[in-house]
Formats: sequence, C-alpha cells, structure tokens
Amino acid sequence: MSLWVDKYRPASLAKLDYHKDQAAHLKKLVEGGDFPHLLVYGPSGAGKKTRIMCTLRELYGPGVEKLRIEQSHFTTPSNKKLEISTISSNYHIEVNPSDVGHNDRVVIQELIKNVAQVNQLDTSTQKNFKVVVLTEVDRLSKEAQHALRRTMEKYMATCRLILCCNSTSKVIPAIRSRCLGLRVAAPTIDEICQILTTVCKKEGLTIPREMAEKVAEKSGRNLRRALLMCEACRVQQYPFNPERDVSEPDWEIYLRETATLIAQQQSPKRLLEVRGRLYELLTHCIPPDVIMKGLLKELLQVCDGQMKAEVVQNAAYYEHRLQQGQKAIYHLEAFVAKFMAIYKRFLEEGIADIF
Amino acid sequence: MVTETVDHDNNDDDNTYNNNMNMEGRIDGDDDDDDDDDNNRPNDEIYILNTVLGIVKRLELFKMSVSKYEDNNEDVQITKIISGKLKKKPISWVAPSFDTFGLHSQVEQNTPLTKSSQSHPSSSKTLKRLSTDFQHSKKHAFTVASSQKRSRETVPNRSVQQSLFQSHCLTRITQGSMLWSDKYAPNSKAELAVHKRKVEEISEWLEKASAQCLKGSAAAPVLLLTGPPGAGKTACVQVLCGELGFSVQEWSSTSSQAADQWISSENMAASEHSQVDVYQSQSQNAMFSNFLLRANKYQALCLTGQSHQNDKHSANIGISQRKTVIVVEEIPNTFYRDAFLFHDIIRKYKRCGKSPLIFILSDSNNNSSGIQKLFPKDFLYQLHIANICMNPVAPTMLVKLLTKVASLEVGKLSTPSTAVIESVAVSSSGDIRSALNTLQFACTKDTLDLKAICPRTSKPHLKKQSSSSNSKGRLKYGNSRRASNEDGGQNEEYASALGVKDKAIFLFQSVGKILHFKRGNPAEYSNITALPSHLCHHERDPLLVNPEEVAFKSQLSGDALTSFIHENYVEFVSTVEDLERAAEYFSDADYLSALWMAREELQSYAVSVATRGFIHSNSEITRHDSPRRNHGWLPLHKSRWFSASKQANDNIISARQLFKGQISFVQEIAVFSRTTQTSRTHLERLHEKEVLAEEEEEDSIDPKNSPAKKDLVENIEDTDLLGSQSNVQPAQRNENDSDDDFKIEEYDDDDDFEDFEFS
Repeated sequence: MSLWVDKYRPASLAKLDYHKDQAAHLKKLVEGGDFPHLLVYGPSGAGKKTRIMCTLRELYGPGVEKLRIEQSHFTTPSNKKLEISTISSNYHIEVNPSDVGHNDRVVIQELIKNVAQVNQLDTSTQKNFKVVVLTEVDRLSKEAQHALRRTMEKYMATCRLILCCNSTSKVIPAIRSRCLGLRVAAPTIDEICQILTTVCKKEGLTIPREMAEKVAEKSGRNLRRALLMCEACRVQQYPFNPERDVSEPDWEIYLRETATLIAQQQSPKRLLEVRGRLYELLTHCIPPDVIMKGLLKELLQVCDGQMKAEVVQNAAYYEHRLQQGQKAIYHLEAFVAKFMAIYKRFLEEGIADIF
Repeated sequence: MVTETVDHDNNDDDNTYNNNMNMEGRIDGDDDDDDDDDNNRPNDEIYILNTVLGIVKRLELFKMSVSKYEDNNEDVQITKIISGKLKKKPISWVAPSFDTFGLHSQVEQNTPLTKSSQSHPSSSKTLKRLSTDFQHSKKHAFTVASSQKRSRETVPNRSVQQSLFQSHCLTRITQGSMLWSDKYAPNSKAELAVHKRKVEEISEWLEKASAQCLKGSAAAPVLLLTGPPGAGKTACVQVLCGELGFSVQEWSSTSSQAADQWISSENMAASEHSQVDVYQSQSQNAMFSNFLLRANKYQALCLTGQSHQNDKHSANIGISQRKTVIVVEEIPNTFYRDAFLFHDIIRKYKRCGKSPLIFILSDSNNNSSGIQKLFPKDFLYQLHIANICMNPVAPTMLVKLLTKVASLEVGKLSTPSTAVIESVAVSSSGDIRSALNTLQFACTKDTLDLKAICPRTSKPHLKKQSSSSNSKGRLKYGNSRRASNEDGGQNEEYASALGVKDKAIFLFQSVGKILHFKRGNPAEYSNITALPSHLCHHERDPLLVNPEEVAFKSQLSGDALTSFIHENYVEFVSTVEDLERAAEYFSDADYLSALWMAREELQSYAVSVATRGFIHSNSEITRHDSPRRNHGWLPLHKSRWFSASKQANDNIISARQLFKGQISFVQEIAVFSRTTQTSRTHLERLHEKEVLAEEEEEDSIDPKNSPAKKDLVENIEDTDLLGSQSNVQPAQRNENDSDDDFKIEEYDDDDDFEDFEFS
C-alpha cells in the first residue's frame, strides 16, 4: 500500500524497536502532566520523527493520527505573499519553516501566534496545550531563531514546541537552553538488521542475514535508507540474492570519482575540474556537509597513519567554517586545496626517501 | 509585533552575541585556529595593519566626497530656483553640477563681495589659516545668499574644509568671466578632443542618415550614443551637426526653465504664459511623443534669437528647408518605470519619422542610467538602432587641450605648471568637462596656494603617458599609492583639493586589476624596512594596486566581488602551495562575514582579506620584475555560485512539490481504501439475483490495459457467473482487484522516488 518505511513505522512508544530506555523516559515525561519544549536531534534516519509522533500519540491519543495537509498563507512586512504547507491534526501542527527561505521569521511568528491564540477545546479530557512541531530547525535563519526565542516564552501557556534537527551546532544557544534536548542516536547495524528481518517477515518475504547486513552497511546506519534500499532490492528481484550488489546512489559514485581525481593529480588545473564537480553536486541538492564527509571518507583511504590525523583535523576545521560561513564552495575548495598540498608534500617526501 | 519583539530581545541579543564569541574563542583555542596561523605569518599582520590604515583613510576620503556631492546637489537646487530669475540659460553643454559656478558668478558679480576675499589668499600659507579665511568669506556669501532670498538652510551644511575651499574658489572665479568648459567649447571638428575614429563614426552615421532621409526611405534612422559623462558626446554631436548643416532640436524634460528655445512652438508659447501649469497638465509620456512628432514635422522657432538668427524666417513659415536632427538627452522618468511605453513611441517614430533621432545617454556601471532597460539588445536589433559607444577622453589629448586652454588664459591669471595640468588630467579620469573646470579652479587660486598645500608639485609624478585608458588608471593608482607611502597621502589631499573625480570602474576591470596585480620597484620607495631573515620568504615588493580602492570603486558588495575573484583566481596560481594559501584566505574571508549581526561592517574587511590574501600567496610574482607566466589571454568568468545556489533552490522546490504530491497521493489512497471497504460492506451490498450492469462492467475494464489485469477482470466475471449465490465473494474479489491495482501504481511511484533520491 505505502512504502515500507511508512507502513511499518511504529505508532506508539511501546512499539519502538530500539532506544527503549529513551522511550520509557518519554513516557514518564508525558505522564508527568507538564511538558517542556523539546529539541530532538540526531542523524537523519535515526527515528526522530517517529519518536515525536509516538510522543504526540501518547499525549493526545489516536486523534493525532488524523492528519490533514493545508496550505497556509502569510504576508511579510514587505507585502510579499508566502505559501507554506503544514501537516496538522486537531492537536498539533507540523511545519518546515525553512521552506520559505529567509522569510522564515514571519512564518514562525505568525504560525505560532495563530496556533497559540486558540485554546484547546476540551481541556477536561485533553492536555491544555497544543504542540507545534518545527522541522529542520538547524536550517532556520538566525533571525528566525531569535524570533522563536521570544515566541517560545510568550505562548508557553497554550503551546509547546517540538523542534527537530540534525545537529544542534546551528541552533543558537538561547534556544538550546529553553528546550529539553533529546538525542536520538542512529541505530546500530544489528538493530537495523533485526528491523529489516522483521519487516520482511511481515511482508511475507525472507531476507538472508548477509543481505540484511549488506544493506545496513550500505545505508550508513540510516534506517530510512536501509528500508528504502531493501524495498528497492525487492522490486528488482525477489528471492534476495546476497551476492548481488545493492544499488548505490549515483551521487555517491560521483563523489568517489571526485575524490579519485583529487588523489590522482595535484595542480590548479585539477582543482578547477574538482570545483566544477563540487558545483555539480551542490546544484543537485547534496548538502555541503555531506559532500565534505563523503570526500573525507574517500580521501582517507589513500592516506597513511600520520597524514590521516592531519587531514581529518583540516576537514573538521573547514567543516566548521562551512557551517558558520555563507558560501560553502569556498570552504570545500579550501579543503581540497589543503589536501592537495598535504598529499603532494607526502608524495614528494616519499620519493625523497626512496633516493 | 515585529518591532516589539526586537525591542525585547535587544539585551538578550548582546548576551548571546557574547556567548557566541566566548564559544568561538574556546573552539579556537582547542582547534589550533586562526590566532596561531597569524603568529606564523607576521607579515600578514603588517598587511592587516596596512589594510586597516587603508580603510580608515578610505573612509575619510569617502566622507569628503559625500559632502562634496551633497554640496553639488544643493547647488543644483539653488540653480533651479534662481536660474529663472537670472534669465541665464544654462548651456546644454554643461552638466547641472556645473551650473553652480555660473550661478555663483552671477550672484557675486552683483555684489561687492570680491574685495574681502581678494585680500586673503596671498597671505595665507597654511590650510588652517585658509579655512578661517573661507569661513570669513563664507559669511559674506551667506549674507549674499539671504539677500538673494534663496533657501537658507542649504548653505550652513557645508562645513567641511574641502567644500569651503571649493566655495572659495567659486568666489574667485567671479573675477574671470565664463566657465572654461563653456568658453572653450569646441566649434569645429578639429577642436574636438574625442578620438578621431569615433568622430568619423558619428559623422558617417549622420551623413548616411541624412541621405536616407532625403531619399525618403521608410524607417527613420535612430542612433544611441553612450559613453561616460564628460566624454564629449553632446559636443561631438553638436559640432558635427553644425558642420554638416543640420539644425538640432533637443528634448528637455526637467524644469520649465530648461525647456528652452529648442522645444516646439506650442509649448514655448504656453510656457511664456505660465510655465508650471502647462507642464503639469500633460503627462510626460504624451509630451514626449508629441515632441517627437512635432519636431519631426516643423522647424524650431527661435524666439530667444541667439543662435539661429538666419533660421528665423524659415522657421516662422513652418516648413523646414534645412535638415533636422532630433537629440534626446534626458528621457522622461516615466519611461524608466515602463520601458514598453517608450519602445512603442520609438517604434511609432521609426515608422513615421523623417529626421534622424539621436539618444545621448551616459553609461555607468551601476546601471542608474537604465540603458539596459530602455534599450535592450533585442530592441536595438529589431529597430536597427545604431549604437556608438564613446570612450573616456585619452589623457594625452586631455593634457594637450588643457595646456592649450591654459596658454590662452595666460596673463589674466597665474599659469599652472605642467605638473598641475598633468595631475588634473589624470584625476579627472577622462571627463573633459570636469578637467577643464578643475583647471579653472586651480588657476583661479594662486599657484602659491597650490604649493602651500602640496609642496611637491614641482616634482613630476607622471611617467610617459600612453593613450590607452588602461594605463591612465594605472598611473593614477601609482600616484596615490606612492603618495600614501611617502608623505601620508598629501598628494591625494592635494588632488582632492583640486576637485578629483570619483571614478567608478566596471566589474570586469576591477576583477582584472586584482588578478593581474602589479608590483612597484622598491628602489623608488624610501621607507621600506626589510623583514627579518626568518620571514624573508614573505618579502614582497610594494603593491601598485590598492585592493580596497578597487573594491570601493567597483561599487559592488564585497561578497559579490570576492566571489568573482574566487571564480577566476585558480588560473592565476601555478603551484599547489600557493593555491592552498589562497584558498585558505578565501575561506577566511567568508568566515569573516559569518556573524549576521556584523556582516555589513565586516564585508569590506573580508574583501581585503580575500584580495590581499590572494595577491600575497602568489609566490611567483613577488618582485616588480618577476617574470610572469605567459598564460596568454585568460577569459574571466562569472561567478557560478549564485547560479548554482539558485538552481539548487529550484531543484529543492520542485522536489518538494513532488513529495507533496506523493504524500497526498499516499494519503488519498489510504483514505480511499478504507471508504471502499465500508461502503462495499454497508451500502452497496450485492443482493442475490442481481445482474451486473453493462456500464459498470465497462467502467471497470476501461482503465485497465495490461493483459494481467484483464485476466483479473475475467476472473471477476467468472466468479460473477459462478457464485452469484454468495454475496460476499465478488465484493472481496473486487477489493483484491483494487488492491493489486494500487500496488502496481505504488511501485511505479517508488521507482520514481528511488530515481530522484539517488540521482
């Protein structure tokens, strides 16, 4: 009927497959009555959204699952019309404010105000607050984050925020301190294997252990991706053949080729070529930090022990800059140039040692 | 709501800001960050220090120039107010800023002010002294102003020394008579200081156009003449028209006064009656098209009777015997808002016009003149509008002209030295009008004063000049750079005292200037200290380019300029080590603009870091005479970052649309399946002995094309035939059928999804 990812998504805290301790904590939190703002963070595909939905269900009961998609309209102070789609139930509203780019501040303020101004209808049976779920908070502009800060406090009586992001490093400290942080770590390979097996069993399929491991390995501990890959394999051929390669995303291959180019030759001309490829990746919506990570992973394979440390340190340095700065290409390129210089030095030393 | 929030947050903002800073500091310490890098490269500190000094200086300069501009604007306003009274028609050759002088001369000829200002300058030796003098003389000027019933509030604003100096000069000019730019306006082709080839080009066009008009061919010829201000566009057209026997009809859209004898007869008569009312009663748009059509039909009336005495007769008759050229220098404002209107009018004119039409527009790099908008490329092509682009006047020509003018003025005033003339020519950046008038200032003031301000004028700064405009720019930079090295920018001060022109440069040029940077010979510099031996690999010859100046003149945001340089720098670097350092500097520059609260302030520093970092990290060209790699002609490229990020955004949006569709699709299906179940079981119960209706059957077959599904349908029919006694089974079959259907579609969709995700 729907994708396996959606179909077998656990609906309640009790049904979660891993991080059971955390689920218990959440349950207690909900039972306690008062509910703080939450900041849920962790790598993608770790189950952040699942946990949020489970918590909401725990809070309000199955009514939360009656979702509707709506288009909300906002007007900026400069009279620009904004349109953003929200997913909402009677009790909560979910929105991704970074959809509207740098106008996200308006959306945040207006939306929360709208939600918070109306009280819960039946406070006798339900909690007396509603929940606003904001996704991709780390992609909010700083302006919007500062606006959020005040809004959070002002409407505390009628609404709670659940913020969802990959990394807290781009969330301003003021917001971090106003929320209860909740880290959702990526599932281990074993956990993913187990989930794959159960899902396949539910589908009436059998998946060999090696195959499940292979998929889990390839997915980079991203459960969503693992399930999607598994389903894709199922479509390609059913009796799962562990020998067969799990199809890889094209951009990863492209990135690997780029890394090979860097390692092959170190010259300004090659850098230009690499830059072209980096732009290509960026235009295909591959986030710069993913590019950085992928490049590092590939480049480390050609490094020896001591150089590894140096390269990793530089990668960390430029990744930090990438997060802080405006134009990702500068930092990606600086990293590539740095690696080229380090690697060239290494090669020259190697040649000198031989003679 | 918004403002309120901001207010409340103010205190907190500071705190967070501090927090951020603290955190940054900590991270830096841990990660072995910037600070350490700087320690490793003390020479960079020198650079940064230089940079900061340069920026401070630039700020000062900027302030001065701003105040100067303000002044000019006031003066223009005053001119507009007063010129009606004076009945002095500003000559079209002269730009508005220039009318100022005319005004002052007028005003002060009427008053006995000159005496007081005359006595001072000869005795004054220092600037300070001078300024007090000016204040003195300004008081007079002020009283004069009030007695002339001008608007008072415009005058006291001018308090900066520079403008005092200028206003002083203005008072001195009064003893001379006309403006030189006016007095020595070219009368013949030989006198034009424009490049011969351009003159030929224009005259050729005019001849061709007139021939075409006489022949009576269908389309009227249209010419678009562009070029920087003061390049002699209008002078050129007027002189050529005079020589070729054209009469010029000029459109003027600004004030009533400016609508002078050129304007068509009806308007003229009306304007005598009451100027303001008539001009407001008609839209500019209608006026412009009327003007074009009338100017096309009739000869100009010469009511003022100044220039075209002999035309008068024929003009009154109303039949043009002479050839006419219509010149439009100012385009009505409405057209800037709606270029289509303008295009329509020009199209119409093109159809029915008979005289050549010339548009004269100054181009500038910030596109304020709107040439791109009014005359887009396809429009030019479509209407066969010729486009001639004038270049700034070459410095050699300018020097020749200035020398000639100075020699003509000999005896009346103090003669300027050749050095003065040359520096005037260079500082005017090819603007002949500004050069002439600057020279007039310089001469009106005693040369003694010039020496007091700049004791080194006798020393020639200029190398032999070549005629290309490029080398002129270099000369200029060479000058200011050396001056700031040697005696703290006195020369610059001197130049601005003469009224140096702020020159804007195009993006291409500014990027090129940084990338093809030049270094000077250290022998020419006195105060260069060598770096200690352990740093000698950082030793570089002094730079001839001032990157901050280039960035300032490019009139771009620092971010944009940096990204353009970033796009192109790799080709100018030869080794990986240099590349590494340059790339690092670009990263640093971007990092500087990370703090959103201080982005505006830090942007100029970011440009400095990027440009100077790039220049310094090029270890090949460390000396003024280092051999340059012959990379031939390297084309410069546009920055890809902006287009790339735009495309990425578009992709994200379209992907979102796709997902949105998918979500609703999935949702729809989920809902649909549930309702079918309930409706089938509760509402549409199949009763015994009920026959399947023909239409229903067809409906269920229609959308199914694949043979597999046809099988299913047949199955259903079979079951219908077989088991009409049990009412549950067919319903379930139907259910299954629909399920399968969805699944297949679902898989298709999945594939799409996979494709997207992984491509």
